[in-house]
Amino acid sequence: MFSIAIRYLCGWASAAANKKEEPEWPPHPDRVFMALVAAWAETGADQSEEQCLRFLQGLPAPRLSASLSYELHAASIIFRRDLNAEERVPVPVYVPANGDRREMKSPIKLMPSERKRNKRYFPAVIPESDTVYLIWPDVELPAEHRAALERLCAKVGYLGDTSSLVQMWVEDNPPPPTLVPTDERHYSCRLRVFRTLEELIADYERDKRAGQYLPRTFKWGYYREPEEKKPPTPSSHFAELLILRRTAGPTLDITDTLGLAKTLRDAAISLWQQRIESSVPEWLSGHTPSGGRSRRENGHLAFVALPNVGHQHADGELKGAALAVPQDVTKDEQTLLLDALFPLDEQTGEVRPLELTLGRLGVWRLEQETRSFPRMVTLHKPVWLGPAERWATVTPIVLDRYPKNGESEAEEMVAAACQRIGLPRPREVVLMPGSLFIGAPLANRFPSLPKKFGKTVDQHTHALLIFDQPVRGPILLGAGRYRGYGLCRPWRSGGEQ
Amino acid sequence: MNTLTLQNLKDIVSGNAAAFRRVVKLEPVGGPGAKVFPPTYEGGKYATEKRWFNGKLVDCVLLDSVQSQANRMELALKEAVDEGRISLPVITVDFSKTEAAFVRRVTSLEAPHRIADAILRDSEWRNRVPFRKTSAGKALDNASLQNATELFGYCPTALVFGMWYSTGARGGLGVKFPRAIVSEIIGIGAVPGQRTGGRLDPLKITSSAGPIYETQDGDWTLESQKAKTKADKNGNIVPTLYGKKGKPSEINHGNVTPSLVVQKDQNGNPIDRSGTPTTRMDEWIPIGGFTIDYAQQITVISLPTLRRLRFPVKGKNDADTAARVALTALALCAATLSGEKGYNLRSQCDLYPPDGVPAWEVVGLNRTFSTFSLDAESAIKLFNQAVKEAKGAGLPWHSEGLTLVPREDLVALIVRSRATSDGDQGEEEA
Repeated sequence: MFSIAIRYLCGWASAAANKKEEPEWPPHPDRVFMALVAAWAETGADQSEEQCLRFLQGLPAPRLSASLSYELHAASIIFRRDLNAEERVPVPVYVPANGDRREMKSPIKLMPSERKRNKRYFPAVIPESDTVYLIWPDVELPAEHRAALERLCAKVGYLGDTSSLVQMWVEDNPPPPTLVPTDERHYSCRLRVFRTLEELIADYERDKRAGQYLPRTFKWGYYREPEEKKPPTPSSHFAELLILRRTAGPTLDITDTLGLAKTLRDAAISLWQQRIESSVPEWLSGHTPSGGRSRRENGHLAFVALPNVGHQHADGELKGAALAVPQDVTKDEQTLLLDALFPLDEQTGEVRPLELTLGRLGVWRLEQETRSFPRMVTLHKPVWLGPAERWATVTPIVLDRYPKNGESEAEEMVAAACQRIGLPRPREVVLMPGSLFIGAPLANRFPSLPKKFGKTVDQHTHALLIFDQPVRGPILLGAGRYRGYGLCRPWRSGGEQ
Repeated sequence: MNTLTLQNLKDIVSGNAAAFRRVVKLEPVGGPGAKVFPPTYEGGKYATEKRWFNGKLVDCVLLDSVQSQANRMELALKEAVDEGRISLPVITVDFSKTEAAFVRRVTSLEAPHRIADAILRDSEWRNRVPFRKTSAGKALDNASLQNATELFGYCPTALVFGMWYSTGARGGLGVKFPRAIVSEIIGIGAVPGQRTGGRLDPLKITSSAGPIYETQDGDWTLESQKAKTKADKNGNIVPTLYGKKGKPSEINHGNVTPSLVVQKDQNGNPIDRSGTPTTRMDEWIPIGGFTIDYAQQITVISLPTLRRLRFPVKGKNDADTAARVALTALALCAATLSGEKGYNLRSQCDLYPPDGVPAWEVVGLNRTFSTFSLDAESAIKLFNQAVKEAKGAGLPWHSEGLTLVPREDLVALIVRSRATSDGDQGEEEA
């Protein structure tokens, strides 16, 4: 085993992601390789160092150890709302231009105080730990390359923006990885992985001939968190939450949840039939092949709308959607569905978005949220997964029947609903007409389920659930759980992250 | 504690240490709990963030950015040059003998892009030699990471603070020298505050004392017949009121009711957090500075960045270490002198180090640190010694400086545009 260690000397890492105003974190392996190649090329192109680079480029994609908890540096976001802003807005910095005088109408603007200023972004993150490791667990660093790699590392002074000063070295005892390479593009973040020395040199020569930086082709790899070895936290039988980000389309309110969930379900079923096979599996449709109601032990796929709630300025607007996948649905089955929803365009190599037609309102365009940095807290998976001891509803739970014997019967129904989705029985259930989360309206303001379910808005209730131990989501309770009702979120008293 | 000597510095620069680092704890001069005013960014916003301290997230606010700190360090060097404390090659564009004498002088320590700046590009030396054709201009044209010798002699600060030569023949692919020193100041434990504004007029001019009219030359008058005229919506010719309503407050007289200073939109209406104008006071966003527990300045000098630079002299690389040592000493000197000047960052943002200025740490592998103290006088001494050795190693050092004059057409254009530039802010992006 060996690793390349990178310590950010100022405590923060400044590098732009594909979108220039967003920070890149963790540093992509390709960025590290490029820094090493630059160190080699700019210091005399030593032959032993070149051989070492060729050795590195031939290795499998490295594992990464990088803090997955990080904050944004103030230079990259300036708060538009408050210190716990829901939406993190990148804010431009204006830097003096050194442009062609012909562009300037009046040359007094050459003077430092009058200089035209160009819009630039300096996105940066502050990771919890200032050191990142690229780890090859199954590779020994041959003696002939060690000295060269140590020399190359010592020659790298910054990574990303020049203000992002680093120290790099070869480390034989790195900490365990926090991200490992995977083939599954749907459940991972996408990072640029090593290109080859030849490709980098070709790009360099091409730019030199063109006299400018031309767009380049990167090599992408997928990374996910390693499987946990800790004793498992009790969780619902929904194992996975696949987050879909709205990239275009009309504004919808949290009370439009049912409509959006239905449209998403219809689209999923029809795209499965079009692109995979005509028979729709029970875990997806919720129906047996003969058309009866599914009795699967772990339930079936739930369609969820994700509203902006739970902070001072939350407005309940739907920011995206999600698919809550039952735990016995295999990765292969999920992948089939995601391939059907988001096919890869062979020509461009890009993933095509999913378009949902919402009648006269227009079309919602959805993409899978695979960015390592979702700008909206609503689209951050941990926000919906916990684990936490206390959970509260965002959309109302629909009780199985009208509780004739008052509140205690209703509480019992909610406790049973928890057990029905595989959770332990909560220690306490508190029912209430309103949600604890700002931005979520009263339970009876949500439209009732379609008539065939035979439920009324009188059966809607918000709730706070307290478990004896932290449990993991996604948590969806009650009769409307497959259509986005009964969606819970961890409730942390004294404020919500 | 050891004072950093030239021999220490040589050992560190030629060894494998990664950086010099100094963390200075600062407090508002008003004491802990006194309010500080951070810089505001687009839309009157402050730059806030959270950082980890001992495993806990703490609210912080940016008090001085990396770019701003670099400017302060360069200004500290300029002062030291002006006072004759250090000798440093500086390129000056002297406007004093031209019609644009109001510009006075612009040096490579003030120009935004250092030696690569357009002001230098558009200036000339002695007998109308364009800057690019002077030996300093050629040094810039020919500079590369592998051969920074000539640039070292004309503008060593560009090698320390970084430079991108994007206006030369190679355009955007022009040589880039990454910065080797990074410093920033943050306020820790930041709690936003409120501030009020108002004015009590000692002349007791009331708003009913108007109306005020605008004259042809932009001044004000109370006599309507002296005012410039305009057509109203019915086509009648009427005298023009000063400002919107012709109130005394438009010409800065009269009382201003004290009120909270809050974020406003372009029309001057207070906005809420979503940016929508609102009349509800509880939704207004105060612009009122912060109280902080303390502030922290972190300065890092990257040694690998300096080690990447090569300084061939007569085809040999024997002078590399001497040049890198001199540049490291220059960076240490800039940071130390800037600290010596104090931390008066802007109006209502005065800081001081209550425990004095701490030592510099040398960041090595496995975090084994050694520390060195360095006050301003020792930093200057160290720098002057390092420069002497660099010169001894055959490196150029044009401390006599180079003075250029602006091109005539540049001066003429500056003069002409100054006359019209008052209202000409439209093309600014900011």
